[in-house]
Amino acid sequence: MSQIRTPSLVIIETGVANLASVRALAERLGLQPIVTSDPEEVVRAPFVLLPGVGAFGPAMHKLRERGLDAAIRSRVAEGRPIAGICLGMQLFFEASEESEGVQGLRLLPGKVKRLSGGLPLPQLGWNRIEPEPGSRLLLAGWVYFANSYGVGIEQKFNDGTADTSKAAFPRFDSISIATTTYGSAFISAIEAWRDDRPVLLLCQFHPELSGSFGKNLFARWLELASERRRV
Amino acid sequence: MSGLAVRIIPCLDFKDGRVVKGVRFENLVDSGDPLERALLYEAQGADELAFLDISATVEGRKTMAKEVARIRKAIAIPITVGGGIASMEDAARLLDSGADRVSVNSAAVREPAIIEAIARRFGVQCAVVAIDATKSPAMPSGYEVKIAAGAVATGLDAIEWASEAAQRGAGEILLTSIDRDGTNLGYECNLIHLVSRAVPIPVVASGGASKPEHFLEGYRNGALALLAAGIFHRSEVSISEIKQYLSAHNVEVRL
Repeated sequence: MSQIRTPSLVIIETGVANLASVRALAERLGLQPIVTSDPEEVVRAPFVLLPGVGAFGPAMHKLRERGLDAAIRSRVAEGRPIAGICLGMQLFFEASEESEGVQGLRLLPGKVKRLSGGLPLPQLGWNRIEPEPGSRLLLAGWVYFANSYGVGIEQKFNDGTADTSKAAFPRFDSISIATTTYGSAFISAIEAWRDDRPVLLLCQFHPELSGSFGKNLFARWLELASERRRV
Repeated sequence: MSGLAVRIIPCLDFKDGRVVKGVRFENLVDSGDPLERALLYEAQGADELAFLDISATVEGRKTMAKEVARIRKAIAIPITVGGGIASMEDAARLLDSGADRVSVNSAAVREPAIIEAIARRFGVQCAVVAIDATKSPAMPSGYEVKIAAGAVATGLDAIEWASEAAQRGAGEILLTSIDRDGTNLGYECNLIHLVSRAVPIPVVASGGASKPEHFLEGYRNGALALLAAGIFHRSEVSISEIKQYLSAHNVEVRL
């Protein structure tokens, strides 16, 4: 790869999301945004982002139609970094109440549920994320949400209680979450590490709309996930 | 316990590429360059920006899309765009330009299926229904919906219409009191109270706020977001002042 070329962030085109905000985020980070639905490019790129607007079912359908689900799975299997935003985080799970009967990417155990607690939905606006102790990437702060669905905090990833027997979930060395409360608590972000790199950065909120907090989070992820750290 | 911060939303009315502001939708005054205003409000702590296109011409609409694209690159908070959106193509063009959400007003009254169409294609969080209401004793709730920038009475009850919009997939109601718009008299709290009690989605209060007390009243009457325009354009009150005031009254804000 040429050294003079601006490093790129490959944004997966699902056909349902408006991408101006995530493009602007990439540009703010000094990266060239490349929007593609080419599975080859998604497997190869140094950094990939799965954006999220729209509904679970139609988005999964679009990913499958173009072979992008397999491309994402093979990326994660190889330990290559990928970020997911909002619906793009939810798609990493097994299923969602939003689109019953549709299988997700199944890279993490659990099902996405409608937020409970009787407050107006969607949750629209700024709320706090609280990372659990041991998080290396996620910090506490205000972030912008626009969601009616999320993953409940009862979901376990690492401690052996989750029923991971029925699906071949990829191996991570460690997984840390951040939580947020809106009526009830849900998982607002996930960082999953392998070989000392944050392979997954999943945000239920919108880093691209969360001011400098979102930009700084992605800057840290890009640095820690960078290929150079391997050598 | 919600945890969610109440949103303060400055609204910029656009006419042919400039920010303008009027009183009761009339007597427009130039209030400056949109990008400059947007950057200032983001720095002051705005939680979101609303843009309302009041251009009457095709040329004005094109300018609007370009302005949205320019502002999108410069700021990293959500943008809601409304005004004159009459079709899915209009909505898609503005979302492609960099709007995060679109608000439909007259078009939703004339053709309510556009609400479902936007919600289905772009998600409910994208589908804002703007309602301009005015006092009317003939209506069950006492408030009637007007369209075409307040020029046309619809005979629709504001609360019934808000409920229908929510049922059809609206993700938020942007509720403006025409009677209070630009008057500095404070939000029409009874209207906000009635609508936010009637719908299971967030309600944005709009029209008349001029002091921090007004924002607190709007919040206490059920609004989850509080919009204002003129007082910010004229620098009468800053967004951070309002947030400090709300915080001192135990309202969750993002400081």
